[in-house]
Amino acid sequence: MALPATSLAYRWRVLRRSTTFWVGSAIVLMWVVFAIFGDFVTPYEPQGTPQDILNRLQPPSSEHWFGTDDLGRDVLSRVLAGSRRVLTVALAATVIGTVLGTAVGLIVGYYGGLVDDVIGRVLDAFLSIPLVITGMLALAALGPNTLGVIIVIGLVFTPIIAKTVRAAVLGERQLDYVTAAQLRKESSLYILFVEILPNVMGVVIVEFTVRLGYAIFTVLALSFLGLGIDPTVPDWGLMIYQHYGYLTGNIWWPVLFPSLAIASLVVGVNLVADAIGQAFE
Amino acid sequence: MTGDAITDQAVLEVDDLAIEYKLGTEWKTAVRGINFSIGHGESYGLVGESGCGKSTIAMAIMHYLPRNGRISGGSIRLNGRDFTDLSGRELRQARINDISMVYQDPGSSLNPSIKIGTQVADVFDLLGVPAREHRDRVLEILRKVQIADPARVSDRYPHQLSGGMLQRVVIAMAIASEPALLVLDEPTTGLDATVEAEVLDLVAGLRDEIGTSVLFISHSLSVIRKMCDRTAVLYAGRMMAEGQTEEIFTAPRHPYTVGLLRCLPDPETGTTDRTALDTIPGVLPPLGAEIVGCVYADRCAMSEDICIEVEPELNDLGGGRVSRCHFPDEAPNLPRAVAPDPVPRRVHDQTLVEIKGASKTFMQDGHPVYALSNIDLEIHVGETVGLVGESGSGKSTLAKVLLGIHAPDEGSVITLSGGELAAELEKRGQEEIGAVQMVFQNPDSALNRRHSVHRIIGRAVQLLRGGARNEREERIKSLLREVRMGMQHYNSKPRQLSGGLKQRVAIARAFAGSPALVVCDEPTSALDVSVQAAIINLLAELQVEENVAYLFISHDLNVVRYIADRVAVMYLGRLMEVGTADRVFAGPNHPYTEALLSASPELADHKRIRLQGEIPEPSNPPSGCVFQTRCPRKIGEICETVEPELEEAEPGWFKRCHIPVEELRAAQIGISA
Repeated sequence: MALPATSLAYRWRVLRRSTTFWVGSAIVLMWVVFAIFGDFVTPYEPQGTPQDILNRLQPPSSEHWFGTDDLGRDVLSRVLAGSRRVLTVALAATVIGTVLGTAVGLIVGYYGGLVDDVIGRVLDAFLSIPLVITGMLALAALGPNTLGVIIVIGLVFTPIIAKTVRAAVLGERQLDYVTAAQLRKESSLYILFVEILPNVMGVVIVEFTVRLGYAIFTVLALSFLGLGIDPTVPDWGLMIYQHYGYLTGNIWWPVLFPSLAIASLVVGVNLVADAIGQAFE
Repeated sequence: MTGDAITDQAVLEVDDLAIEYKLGTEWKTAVRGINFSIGHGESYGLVGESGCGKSTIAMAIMHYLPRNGRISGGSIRLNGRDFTDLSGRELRQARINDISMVYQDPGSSLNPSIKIGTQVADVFDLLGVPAREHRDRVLEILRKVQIADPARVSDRYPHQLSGGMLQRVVIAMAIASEPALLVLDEPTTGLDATVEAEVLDLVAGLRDEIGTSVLFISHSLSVIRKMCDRTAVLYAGRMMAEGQTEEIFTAPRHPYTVGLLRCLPDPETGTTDRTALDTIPGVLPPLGAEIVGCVYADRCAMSEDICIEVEPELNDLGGGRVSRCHFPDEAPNLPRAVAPDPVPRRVHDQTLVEIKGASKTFMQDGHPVYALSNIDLEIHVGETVGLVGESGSGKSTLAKVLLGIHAPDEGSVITLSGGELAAELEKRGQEEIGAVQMVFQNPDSALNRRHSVHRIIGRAVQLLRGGARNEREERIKSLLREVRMGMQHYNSKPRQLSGGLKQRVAIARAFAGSPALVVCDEPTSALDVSVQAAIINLLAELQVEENVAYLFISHDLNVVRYIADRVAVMYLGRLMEVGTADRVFAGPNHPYTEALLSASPELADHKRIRLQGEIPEPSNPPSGCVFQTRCPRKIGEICETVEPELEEAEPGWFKRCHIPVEELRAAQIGISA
């Protein structure tokens, strides 16, 4: 019995029925809204005002729901505004990694042979280096800046995505529609991007959402380590980094709330990724 | 096949079986009201086109329905015991002892990383045979399925064995417990005709030997006819007819059976006055469709008001025959859907393509693999050359060399209308490329599933024909008309089309640049019988309209006989025999062709010739004649030392064999008499 074809419309129907997808989307959407409209929602100025210093390290109260940090800034406002940086940086990095990885995967998978052997080994070599260490080394060399973080994470993701796309392309290359395209003298670029790419798009989308979760984590891990930070914008990783020393003094709120924010965003993205992955299986 | 082993006690009784699949949120009925029983030692066939529910029934019997499937009514009894309601342990015991199944693809039934011997031994382990006896039992059972060197085979991994050998191993595992019922689901689909014939012989022999009952499922009417005592014909989840196999096929009493049989080329009709095949118009109703009357009514040429209003019962016609038709007596007079007009032939003597001394050597891990060796072949304007041979014989390589996908070795010459074609595709002009096109075996693979019909055909028109935008649009529309497709499919994606329509789109694409030669690589073997007939008719009509020549690659000799003007037989990268279809099918033949013909279930009316061993490795071809290692007519040392030339033994008939044609004639007529 043939089941309905795996069209995009069919996948969307599967996705729409998935609770996982809706819960994940709701969480992610919430953070996206805060990232875009944060300035209108935050009860206080997230970067604080000079007078705030008088109010430092206040526990949660009716005025400051999440308490205040060591400069007296409102933690709730900083958590809400902090989603902007992590989302933009992680998204930009994942887009770069996905675009580059897809292009490399298409080329390596389609040409095969020597191209595959050489580039494949290079990719393997990159994959063998741990992610955060690579990022640290590169950022130490590049100096700390947001663009550097984006490029480094994007490049680190490229071989991972390339491997997955390559595997999908290897399957497509066997199919006769590729031979048919060669038989009418299509250019390689046309075959790669017009014939094959639409058929591996499902894999690319799944890989993109999975990587987005990792990218968020990596961005925050790097800023926790003090790499690639921009002190002028609120950053969850930086917030934890600056306050975890106070934990021993039982001052938990400047660490707990950004941690929960990280956890919820990563869980949300992963729920969406899971649901999309299942819909595309 | 006689039913003399049948006793009263039924091994399998299926009573009013209904099965549903859950699609989305709804349960849809896939099969309903299925009744049949299989006696001791009986072989029972389920035949029908894809989507008729035959595999669904087998899966239900085996408790292998997918998670979205369920038995919604009726019962299945094995040896009198209810088989639908078993505990996990009982089911496991039943699968070990009472019931076995063999699937279509033997490669996926075996674990690729475990040696054959170990996998077969596992079966004996489950049966409680002590470990020290495993080895002997494994060798014994492998010998039973006619594996000549069981010790060597049991030491191999699955990927080191051919498809036919793997299917033998799977059958060995299935019969190890001497099960009460053996379910065979398309066991030979995808195997070469010669291998298929051997596997079928093996199953028939084993059945006589161990007395197992067999449920045989196939889409192939000729395989069912050869293998089964009784047969049921299924359509859209309903049983349409049941009876003794011979009667079902020789005197069908249901319009669907009549229609199916008419879709097959009849070996009696020759090639010179070939007439259009009959087809079954329309398509299978969708899964779960609510049909009040006969499920076949909307495709039946003799349906009347009552057929749409009332579903017929299974009418008892006597002698154990039933037919679900209101008018079983009129079924043989079913009006044809296609007039049996002869297809006019316009074969020219003018040479279109000439292949001279074409060879192709691939390098594999530093070793040469001789895929093609010194091929000389002419294709005339507007003719069909059938290319036959087992898989691995080089048919597809020859096609790819001709198409320019593979560049042949130095010294090979291919000319098109007198002008030499460049070896590589990149160096061929757009016009030359448009002149030689291809129709692939599987339209699902050949059509980009993300592109629309309009885009698929349009792109080929744009590149192979060119012209202004509105001219190209016109051309797309006229191509769709030529392949008898309506404009409603203009923007459809392949998944919205049936298998036959998809193949029509692929054919339209091949004809975009007004080709002089179209290579058809098994263009109908992935299609259902009724669709196959329509595609063959279409190809025949297009040939006359467009004056195109075909190189028609097929393992179905019956189809080749029907469509081909000349036939070329390949073995191990060489042409073994070339001649007109009439001459080749009349014989006498090259010994290899003789074996091929005798393996065809449709054509074999004489004793089958069993070929010894497997096709040799093309990297290490045998000395002398490449067929000498398997040739049943080998005459002596000359066959091992001197490779025969492809000589014109009779006008227009070529053979690559040391045996003179008179001796072949004497020997082969002696056999068939």
